Amino acid sequence: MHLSINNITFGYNGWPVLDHLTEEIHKGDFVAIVGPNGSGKSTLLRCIDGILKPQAGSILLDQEDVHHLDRPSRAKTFGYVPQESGHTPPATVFDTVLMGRKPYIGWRVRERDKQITSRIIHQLHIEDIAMKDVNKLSGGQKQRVFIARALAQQPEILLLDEPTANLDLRHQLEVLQLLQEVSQNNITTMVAIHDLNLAAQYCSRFIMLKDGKIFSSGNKEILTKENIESLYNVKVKIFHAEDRVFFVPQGKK
Amino acid sequence: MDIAQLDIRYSKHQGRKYLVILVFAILLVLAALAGIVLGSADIGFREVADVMASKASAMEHQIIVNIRLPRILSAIVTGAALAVSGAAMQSILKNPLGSPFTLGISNAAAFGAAFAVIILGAGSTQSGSANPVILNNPYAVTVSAFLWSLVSTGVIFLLARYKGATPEVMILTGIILGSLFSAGMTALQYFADDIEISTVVFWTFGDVGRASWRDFNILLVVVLAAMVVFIRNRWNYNALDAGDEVARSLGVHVERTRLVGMVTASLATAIAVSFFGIIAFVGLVVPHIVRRIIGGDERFLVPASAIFGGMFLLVSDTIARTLLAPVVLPVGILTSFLGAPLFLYLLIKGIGKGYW
Repeated sequence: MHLSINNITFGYNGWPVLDHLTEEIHKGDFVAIVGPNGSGKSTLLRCIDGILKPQAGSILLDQEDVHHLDRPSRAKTFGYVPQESGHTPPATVFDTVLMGRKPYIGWRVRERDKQITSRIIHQLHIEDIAMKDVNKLSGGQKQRVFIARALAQQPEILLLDEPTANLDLRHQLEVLQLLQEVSQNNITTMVAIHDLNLAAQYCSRFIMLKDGKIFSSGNKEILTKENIESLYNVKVKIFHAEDRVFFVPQGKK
Repeated sequence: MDIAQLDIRYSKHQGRKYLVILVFAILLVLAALAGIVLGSADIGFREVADVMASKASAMEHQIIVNIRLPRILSAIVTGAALAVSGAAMQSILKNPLGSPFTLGISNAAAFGAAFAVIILGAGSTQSGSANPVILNNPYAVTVSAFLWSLVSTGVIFLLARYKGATPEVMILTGIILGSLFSAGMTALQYFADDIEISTVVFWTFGDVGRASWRDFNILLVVVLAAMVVFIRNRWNYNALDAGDEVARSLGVHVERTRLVGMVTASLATAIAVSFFGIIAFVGLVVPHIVRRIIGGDERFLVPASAIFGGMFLLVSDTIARTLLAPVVLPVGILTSFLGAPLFLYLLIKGIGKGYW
């Protein structure tokens, strides 16, 4: 499915956060949304998911306005993994992932819902913790479970707000690799992310946000020294090695 | 582990919860049987059998069919209404103190009863331990108590619509309304004579002994309707547990779910309180106990709370009837005495093992 973000504007109490933003996202893209704190990354994800409604502009999915979809249909199209879920009441991993079937569940859970849940738990290698309480898991395991829940929605588009924020190096790699596989299975994946080096390693497209506007967008070519320096107002050195690009911050501008 | 094993483990996990509900249901039936044969009048299972075979004396028939049975069934239904409303409120408001009582329903109902007695002149009192309160017009008191509960619910509803149905807005509004109504009650009592005051005070002692078959039928319909609403929304409540944002992304209309749940719980509680007076702590404590036993999954929490709540109030009422026999204590006094230490115990043990 093709996602068009058309001139959307969103503000909290008259304070603009997204300012006439336009962007096209293709099926199966793995998109990194980067930019300084407060540049509107999370707000953009929430607008696309429909948690927030843009005050102007539209988000089109194959020409259909997302905000005209009813709630269950939207939940079947977009999966969303928030940044920090805080403390939640105890629930097993299985029940948490099964929750992703919510938009499909009518009066009762069908066998099919359980099958899909089991399959996703299996695919994400979390069978061994399936009966454990989510709150008792490590950060990396939790993130996998929440991604599993979003995948149980069988979405066309998966949105994640800083999925690697609280993870150690190994789990950051694991989560991004998992998301890369997800996008290769034709589920468009968009992540808000701070770590440019990781984003450069895994993602296929980049959207740079600054002050609620698109500063630049495109593929790896836009990851230049000049762009990064003026996006974040810092000095960086850029290295190329093994087909990859690395940024090392040098100090404030 | 392969997928088949995973399914088996999940089925076992679910099976245990069904088993707990079954055990609760069996205990409830046993408690009901005990309730029929316990009491000042000497009634045994033989007399009960006689009544069923229409062979009993008029006296036995009267005691079993028109006194004990409506009382027992009303205790079950009232306990279920209070517990299930409390369970829903705690989940909706994400607050261990959430219950329609916290939202001022009991204060509003008590104010309504006082209003009917003092302003509308609906009651008077005769002394005597057997039946201390004679209300000239009990339905005026019930209706007034219910209408004022509706006022309280309505204000919270409107404010939540206007300011956003967040737990904070709803809880704070409820607490403010609760103290406003108790202030109103104090003001009314200042202008009342001593008979009116004692009538109001007796009314507030929650007592299912006032139950008639008609009361029971009305309550039953209300409780069943409320259960349908809660059970229909069980997945919405489960989603709310995961956080408002996640619930929205799963397609839940968060504000509407909260408002519908709040109004349903308030109405069910208001009906129970209007008929029987204030029965404290059942709505607060029972869901916490049940959550510890069966977990927070609303699919099980709602029915389990209903059954356990019914059993809890029935056992409390049976004890209240027999403890100081022939004096019959109002069950509201007993639940307050049982509820407070029980809640303290849960607090010390850690309320609901990490639910809050």
